[in-house]
Amino acid sequence: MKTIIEAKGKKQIAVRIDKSLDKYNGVSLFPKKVAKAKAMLATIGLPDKEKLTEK
Amino acid sequence: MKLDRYEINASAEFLIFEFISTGPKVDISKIIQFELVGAQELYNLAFGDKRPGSDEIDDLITDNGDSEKILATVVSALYSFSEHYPAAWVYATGSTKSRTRLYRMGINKYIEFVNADFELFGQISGGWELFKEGRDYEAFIVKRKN
Repeated sequence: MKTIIEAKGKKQIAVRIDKSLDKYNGVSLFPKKVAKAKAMLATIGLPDKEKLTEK
Repeated sequence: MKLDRYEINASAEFLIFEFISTGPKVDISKIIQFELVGAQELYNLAFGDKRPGSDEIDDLITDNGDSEKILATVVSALYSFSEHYPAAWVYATGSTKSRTRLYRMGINKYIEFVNADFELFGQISGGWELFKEGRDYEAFIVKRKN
């Protein structure tokens, strides 16, 4: 494992890379939540940023 | 503002994060996943407990008396993820209304922190609006400010 410091502005998030977590790649761990997200995308879609910030 | 959070590990692609919730009686390994949902750079954010002694993940969160610290840890994973996927929209909702309410309270707590770097919207009445404190949202979506 290796530790990297990610920095942007003043915020620094230290993250250690753990390749053992790659075993979950491509595995849907929370299928019910993903189904909710898909339903949202199919019905209301993503926010229209320009429209919403004009309000 | 400093986040009181747990240290996090990430997969090489920054789609899976793991941390250990330390409670008074037990330590619980927790997994956060950012999963691509559609063709519009939408990722679902979800997290749950890793079953002891296996790689199975339970879609539930054991109350270990550290919910605020857990939410802060999830926020820090969101920062890390969005550094690598700056165009991503991230969708999150609770498995129950009460859990969604808990997330809303957590967002309220870190609202200045989040607003500084993310555009944040709440889902209500079949649509999206810019996040406002005190509203009873069904779900949340964020996008990193560029």
